[in-house]
Amino acid sequence: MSKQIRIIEIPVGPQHPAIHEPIQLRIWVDGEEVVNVKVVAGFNHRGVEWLAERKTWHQNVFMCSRICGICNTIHGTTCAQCFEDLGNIEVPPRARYLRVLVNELERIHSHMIILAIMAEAIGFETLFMLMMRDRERVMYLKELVTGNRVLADYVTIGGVRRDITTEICDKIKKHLNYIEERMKYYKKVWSEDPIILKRLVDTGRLTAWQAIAHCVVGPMLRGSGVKSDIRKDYPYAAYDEVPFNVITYKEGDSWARMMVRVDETFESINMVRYVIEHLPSGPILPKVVPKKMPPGEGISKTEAPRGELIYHAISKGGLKPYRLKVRTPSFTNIHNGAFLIKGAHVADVPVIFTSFDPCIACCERVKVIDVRSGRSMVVPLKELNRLRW
Amino acid sequence: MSLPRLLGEVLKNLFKKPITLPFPKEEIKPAPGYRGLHKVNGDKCIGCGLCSIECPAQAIEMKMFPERKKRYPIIHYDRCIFCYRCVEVCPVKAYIISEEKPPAIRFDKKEMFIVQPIFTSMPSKAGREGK
Repeated sequence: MSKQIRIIEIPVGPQHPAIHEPIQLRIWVDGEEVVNVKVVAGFNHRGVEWLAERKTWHQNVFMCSRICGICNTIHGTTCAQCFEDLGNIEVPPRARYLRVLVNELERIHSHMIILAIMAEAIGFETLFMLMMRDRERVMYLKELVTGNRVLADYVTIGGVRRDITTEICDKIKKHLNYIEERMKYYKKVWSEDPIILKRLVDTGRLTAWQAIAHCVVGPMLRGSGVKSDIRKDYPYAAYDEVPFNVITYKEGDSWARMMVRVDETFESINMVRYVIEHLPSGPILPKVVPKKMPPGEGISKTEAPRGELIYHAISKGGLKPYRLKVRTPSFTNIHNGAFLIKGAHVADVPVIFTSFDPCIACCERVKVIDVRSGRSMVVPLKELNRLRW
Repeated sequence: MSLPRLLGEVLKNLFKKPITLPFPKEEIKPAPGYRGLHKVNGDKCIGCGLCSIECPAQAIEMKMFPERKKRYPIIHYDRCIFCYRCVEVCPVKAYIISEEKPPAIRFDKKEMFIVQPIFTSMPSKAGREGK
């Protein structure tokens, strides 16, 4: 008698696939084992790139900050750097240091939230509550420096929008001491707690060769032992002057990816301290910031909390960009890393998916589905304009 | 098997005050320098409309005030993203800033979120002041 094979399709999401954002993972299971997986995105598409062509250069920096909520400053920074590259605008040294300061504060709270969410995904809700409590201090610091706890709107073309005072520096130092102490405790929890080790170690193992072949970026790549960081490789802002280490782990499993984030938090705390102590004096904006850009192309690469973020803008002169292309780290990590879910158990799907640190709002792109044939395709915007609806 | 590391921390927190706030009764005080509700000082405003042009969310409408014979900005808080671009670009610093938190939107009282400029002086009969 031949063994009967029954494969069942299970939709994970779009309401709550491990993280609280809309994306669907269609998994096919044979018993407990996942045999195939398909990522269905597009629930959160907002047409940001289309909108960018209809807004002025300065408005675009604010709009691009709203692509993602958690990593909004880095989106604003990359967008501003892209336009600075286009218009050959020089950023004053004080503004470059302040950009590092706010971006590193953002990295701390972004890594803390994904560590907390991972704790929640494996059913460790106490750790989730404790980490979210301590994260609130970082949010307060961000509010102190920028004026808003989430959407900072701190970076503008040519520099930053606010200066920092010595009182704020003292407060940052005070709170960072507390956060560092807590993070040391959490590092012990993450590396020793039996619940965490049992769920995370050996789930979703990604070798260094696979990581490079599948083009994953950020902590996912560094968790597999590949030493790659845009801040070191192609320094922007003041990263060439601020000392820091690139954290790598050799294991390549979900646990290694989370530990990269834990260790990067300490590096970020040290970088913020260094920036506060070595802050150069001077203006925060150049004397003249143009409203029109010359024709040409601008490109900017940065290391967002989730990996490499690229902005590419084309200008034909005038007040608005001709085209603005955004390539976010979550887009590559989610779609190219999804193969890791194949072969895992059903219960490990949320763990593996959360260890990518997915940010769905970042990764939504144009996708066209032909209703008659059911064929889906990705087309460039230029061709999309020619299509008849 | 080792004990979960968090056990001591959990026991310590059992006897502490809750970190959460009962929201409508108590609110978190925003940090100094928070970007809150902003209004237009009508006496200073020259009606150039730069804030309306620069606003990334199209939240500022320039409206004609017939008794003053001039156009003034009207802020729609329901559209506003509180980026303070208008405050930054204003050539005469006519915006009054505050640390007051923006209200949650109530669609039945949408008029609440349309804010008129503040005037301290009565409109002069000659129309535009100084001319």
